[in-house]
Amino acid sequence: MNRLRIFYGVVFLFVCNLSLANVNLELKAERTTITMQDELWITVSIRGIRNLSSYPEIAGTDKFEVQNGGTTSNMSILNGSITMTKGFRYLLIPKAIGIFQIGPAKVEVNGQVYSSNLLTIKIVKQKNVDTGNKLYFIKGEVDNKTPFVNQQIVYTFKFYTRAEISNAKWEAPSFEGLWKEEIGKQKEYRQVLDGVPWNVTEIKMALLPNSAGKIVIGSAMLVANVLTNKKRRRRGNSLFDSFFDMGRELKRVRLRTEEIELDVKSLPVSTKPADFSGLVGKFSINGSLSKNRPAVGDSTTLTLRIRGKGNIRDAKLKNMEFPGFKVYQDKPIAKIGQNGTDIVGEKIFKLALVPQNVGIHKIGPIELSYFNPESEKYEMAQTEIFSMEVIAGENTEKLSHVQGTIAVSGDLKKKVMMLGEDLMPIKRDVFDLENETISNDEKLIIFLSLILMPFVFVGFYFKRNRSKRLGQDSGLAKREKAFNNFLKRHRKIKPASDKIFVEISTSLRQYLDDKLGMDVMGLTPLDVPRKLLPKGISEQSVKKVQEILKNCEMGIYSGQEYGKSNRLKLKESTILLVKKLEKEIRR
Amino acid sequence: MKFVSAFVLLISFSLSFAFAAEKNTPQTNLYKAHDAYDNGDYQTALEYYNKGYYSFENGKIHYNLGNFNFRNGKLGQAIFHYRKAVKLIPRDADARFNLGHAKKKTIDKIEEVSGKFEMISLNSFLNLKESAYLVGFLSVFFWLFSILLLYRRNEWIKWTQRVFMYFFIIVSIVVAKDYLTDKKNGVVVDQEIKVYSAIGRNNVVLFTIHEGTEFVITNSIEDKWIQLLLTDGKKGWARTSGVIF
Repeated sequence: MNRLRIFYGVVFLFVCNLSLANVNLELKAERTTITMQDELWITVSIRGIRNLSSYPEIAGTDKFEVQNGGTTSNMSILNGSITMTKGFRYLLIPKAIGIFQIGPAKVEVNGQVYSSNLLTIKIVKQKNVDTGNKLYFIKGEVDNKTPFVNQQIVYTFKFYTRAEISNAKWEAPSFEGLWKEEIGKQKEYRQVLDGVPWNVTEIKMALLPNSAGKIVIGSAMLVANVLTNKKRRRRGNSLFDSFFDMGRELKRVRLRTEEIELDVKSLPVSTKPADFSGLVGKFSINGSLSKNRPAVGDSTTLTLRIRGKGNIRDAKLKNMEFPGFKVYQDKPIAKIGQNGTDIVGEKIFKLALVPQNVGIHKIGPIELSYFNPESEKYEMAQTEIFSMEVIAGENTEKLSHVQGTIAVSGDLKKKVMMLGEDLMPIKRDVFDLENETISNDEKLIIFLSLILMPFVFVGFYFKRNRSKRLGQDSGLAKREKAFNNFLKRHRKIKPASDKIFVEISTSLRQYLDDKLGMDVMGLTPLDVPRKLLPKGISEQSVKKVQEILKNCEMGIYSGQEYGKSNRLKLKESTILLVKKLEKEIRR
Repeated sequence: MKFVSAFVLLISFSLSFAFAAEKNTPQTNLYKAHDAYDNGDYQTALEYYNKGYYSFENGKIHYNLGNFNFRNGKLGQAIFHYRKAVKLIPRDADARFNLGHAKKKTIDKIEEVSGKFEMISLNSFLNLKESAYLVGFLSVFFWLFSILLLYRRNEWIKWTQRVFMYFFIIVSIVVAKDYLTDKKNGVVVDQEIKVYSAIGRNNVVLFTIHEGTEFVITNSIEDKWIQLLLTDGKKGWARTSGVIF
C-alpha cells in the first residue's frame, strides 16, 4: 500500500514539474478606464507553478496606491495534465489623471524570470453625473458615435445600484444594421460617483456598422426586484422593523436606456485602392511556404495569415496570379478573439501551389489593402517575397490539395444508388394459417352484435324504468308481485298439514290484499260480493272466492274431517281461482 | 413391467409420428414447395401449392403464389395473387412491394382516376374481416357502456360511451363504404386480349390490353364474356379465357 502511495506521489510530482516547464503570467484588470474616485482591481495569474516564495513585482504602479488583495489557488486537470494556477490580487487607487501602463508583472522561479503582458489604464476626470437621490439607474453608451462603415465601436451597458437587487433580467437593445459580438463576461465592480459608492454591473459589446448613414441603437431594458426602504412612519423606524425587515419592501422595477443614434461615415471613395480588401481596422499579413525546393508536379502550401483588430471575418485575398504554378485554394479559417475591448483575430488562407516548370520562382510580395480609421487613410500591409527552387520531378502531378490540416469544404458523401430490384422473399410461416375472409359463422356473430345489442339495450332500458317505478310506488310493487308471492306461499302448503285451511285462507286473502290494495284480512264470505264486485271481478269468480273461504272456515271451525283428495282439490281450485283473478284484475 | 409398457407406448408414438411425417400432408406439400422454390424449380413449387392444400383464403398463401408465378414468368397470375394478398394482409409491406415490382413489368400504362372518397378507407390498414370485427367490437362496447350508463350516471362512463359511439359511427360508415364499393377485380393472363364493343367477336375491337393489366368486372354473361372497366374509364367486353378473376 505504501509503495502505491509513493508511486502516486512520484507521478504527481512529475506531472507538477512538467507543468512548471510551461510557466505563464497574465496581468488582468477588471476595466481599463476609471475615474479618480474609483478603485481598480488587478490580478496577476501565474499558471504552471505550485509554490512561490515571493510575490510578483509589478512595474508602473507608482501612480497608484497599491494594496494587497490576497491570493487564490486553482488546480485544473485537462486531458490528463494537471495545471496549477495561482492568482495575486491588488487594489489600485489612482493618484493622478492620465494614461498609464501597468506591468509587466515579473516573477522568479528556479532562477528564471517570467514576465506578463502590459495593461494600459486610463484615469479620467469624474464626469458630473446627476444621480439625484436615485437608488438605481441604467446607462447605455457607445465609445464613438461617428464611426466609419465596418469600424468597430464598443457599446457599454451599465446598471448602477445602491439597493439590494434580485432576479435582474437584461434585455439587449436592437442592433439593426450592426454586426455585434459580446466582449467578455458581465463585470461587476464598485464605482464612486460624487462621493457615493455604487455597485456597477457592466456588459460590453463590439459593434460594426454594416452601412453608412444613420443607425439607431434601440433602448436596452432591465427588469429587477429591488429591496428598498419603506417611507418613514411618523413615529420613526422601529427597532423590530429593521430586525425583521419589516421596514423594507420588494419592488419590481423596469428601466430603459435612451436610444443612441450613430452617424456612420462611408469610407473615402477617391483614395480607395482598386484591390481594397474591405477590412477596416489595423491589420498585418505574413506568409510561409511548406517547401522551398519542391519538384515539378509536387505540391507546396503557401499559408497566408492576416492578423489584426477589426472586421477580420470579412478578410479576403485579392485575385492573385502565380505564373508557372497551378493553384488550388482551400477554405479559409478564421479565429476570432478579444483583446480588451477590441475584436482581434487572424484569418488563415492556404493555397496549394503545384509548380509546372523547373527553376527559381519568386512569389510575392502579397499585399493587403485596408482602411485604418485612426489615421482615416487606406494603408497597405504586405508579406515578404518568397523564393522557391523547383527541381525536376515526375511528370505526373502528385498532389492537388494543400498540405497540413485542411478544412474539407462541401459535402463529399455519396448518395447510395440502387443497383437492382427484386421480389421480397416468400413467407415461410404458413403452417398455421387461418382464413382471412369472413366466414358465415363470423358474419352471423357480427350481425347479431349489431342487431341484438340495441334490443338488449332496450330491454335493460325498460327493466330499469320498471324498477324505478316500483321503487317509487310501493302499492304498485305489491300489485306486481302479488301473484308470485301467492305462488310462493301456496307451494309451501302441505295437504296433510292440520293448518291447511288457515294457510289457504291466508294466502288467498293476502293475494287479494296485495292485488286490490284493500284490507281483506278480516273479510267474511258474506262481505266478498260487496267488496270484490266493484273491483271488476266477475260474479262467478266472486262466488268461487266465497266458496273457498267458506270451505276454509268450515275446515277451521267445524272440525269436520276432510280427506286428502278434498284437501288437494281445495288447494288446486284456489290456484285456478287466483290465476283467473289475475287475468280479470289485469283487464 | 411398468417400464416395459411405457417403453412400448413411446415406441408406438414415435412410429405413428414417423408414419404421419411420411404422408403427403399439407405441411409436407408446403415444405416441398418452399424447397423447390429455393432450388429455382418454380413450376414444381407452384404445383405443390396448387394441390388444393388450402380451402380458404389467406394472404400469405396468395403472396407466395404470386412469387411462384412471377418467377415462373406468369406475370398476370402473379399480379392477381399479389392483389389478393394486399387485400388480405394490407399491412404487409412485402406484398405491396412485390405487387408494385410486378406491375412495373406490365406493358400497358393506364392512368388511375381516383374517386373523391377513395382516400377515406380502411383498406390500407385492415382487411374486410378485421374491419367487420372492429365494427362488431365497437358496437358491443358502445351498447355495453350505454347500458352501464342507465344504471350509473358517471362522467367517465359517459365520455367512454361517447367515444365508442363516435368511433362506431365513423368506422361503420367507412367500412360500409369499403364493402359496398369493393369491386370484383380481374387481371389479364394472356399476352394480349381484345376488348370488344359488345359480346361477340364480330363487334368492333375497342382496344387491346396486355398481360398483367388489372381491371374491374362490371358485368358477366354465362362465364364466357365479361364487361371490364379500366381505371382510366375505358370499358368493353372481353372473353374470359384470357383473364383471371
